[in-house]
Amino acid sequence: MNASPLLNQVAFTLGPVAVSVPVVVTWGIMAALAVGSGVLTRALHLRASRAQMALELIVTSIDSQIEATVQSDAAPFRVLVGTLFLFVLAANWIAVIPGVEPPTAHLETDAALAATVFVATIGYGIRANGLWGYLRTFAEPSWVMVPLNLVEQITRTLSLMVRLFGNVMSGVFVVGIVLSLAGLLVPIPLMALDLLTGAVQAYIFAILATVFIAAALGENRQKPADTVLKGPV
Amino acid sequence: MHFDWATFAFQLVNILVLMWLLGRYFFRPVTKIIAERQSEVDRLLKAAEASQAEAETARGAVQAAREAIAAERLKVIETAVGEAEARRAAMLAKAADEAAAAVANAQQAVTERLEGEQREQMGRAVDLAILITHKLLDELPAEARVTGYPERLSQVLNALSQERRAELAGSDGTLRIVAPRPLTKPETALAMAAVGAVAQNGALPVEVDAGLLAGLELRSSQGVIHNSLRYDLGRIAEALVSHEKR
Repeated sequence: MNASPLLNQVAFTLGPVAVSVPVVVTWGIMAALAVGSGVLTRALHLRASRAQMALELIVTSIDSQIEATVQSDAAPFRVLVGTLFLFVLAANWIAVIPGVEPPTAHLETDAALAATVFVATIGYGIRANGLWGYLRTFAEPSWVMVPLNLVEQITRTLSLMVRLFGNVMSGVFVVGIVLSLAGLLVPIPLMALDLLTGAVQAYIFAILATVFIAAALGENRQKPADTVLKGPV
Repeated sequence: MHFDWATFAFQLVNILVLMWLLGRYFFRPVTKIIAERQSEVDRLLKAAEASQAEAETARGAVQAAREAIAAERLKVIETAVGEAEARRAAMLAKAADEAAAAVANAQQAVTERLEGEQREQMGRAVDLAILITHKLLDELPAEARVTGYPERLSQVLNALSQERRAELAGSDGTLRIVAPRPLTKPETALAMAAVGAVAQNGALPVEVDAGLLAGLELRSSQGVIHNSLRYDLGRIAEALVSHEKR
């Protein structure tokens, strides 16, 4: 385990570019998620197996959370919010593998996630309200609020990033300290607690991203479908 | 704290690539199969609703048929009851008629039998009266069998109309006087005088019929002028029979 979670170890270099360990771990997570998805969704049937039911439960739960927050159809936001949730959850839980640090314990990963949410929020806001309509939302309820709303856009993105980074990094940090001081088996309860914390942080991150998107949409929301789920966009 | 921009860029690209991968290999197939199941469920629900509607329709038809059968059954029963009532009434009426006819026939038979017996008894009574009268007349003078009867015959002939007298006389020569015994000359003269109203061509022949007992009758092929004790006894017997009937 790395002695200081705040430092990025270089795994290898591609010419002048140094590829850090969190990037490699992220690639591993991506490969696992992609391959696992490909394998599990290869033979889906109307009569679902246990694994298929688990997959459908994940998707319908994500959809229900999105629809409850956005108050509109979940299809346009499913891939973004679902990917954020699944990646953050997998990245947080990767710490159970000995010697592997979660990528979310490094600020660059959390910054990339927050930047994705920031850009997606602006994109969804412009698509729903138009460029001028979206910009006018910064002047609500008054033009006086324009600076505050602009600052809020930045600060809430930073808070999104720092919240995830602080929680995951502190968990890794505490486990590393306890492991160095107490011994091999003592940090296990703390690691279990980290699993819970990681799940909660993944949920919080995804929900906050959904809330930001819902705020950007304003009143121009598509009503949720009653029964039929729409395909991914 | 150091911020590695290269790692940030890598992670940004990684997130975008992961979004594409999960969207392609996870969310799309899973949402597709959920949508297919939902559409299948909707199809099955519609089919079930259609089947239910068909079942309701069929049940309604069966119910209607059952009600029609019940109504038909009631109608048949009512018709049968009506026919049975009519047949019963007809049979009762026929039986009553037959019974009445039987009673009438029996009464008729009894009446005829009684009348026959009565007539027979009356006949015997007349015969007895004739016999008694015969005996009594035998003890009386021979004139008693004729005396008074020419006048009586004359009164009857005079009471007849001219046409009836002409009809009685006829033209076939069968007009004759019938007496219970051969008439004496004075009696013949009286008789001829009595029938003078119809005997326009002279004297009539006199025929003897002891069955008259007493009297003087006028007979022809066209009719008879009854004027005898025998006829009177018979008329009295018929009057008695008629009186008994009343």
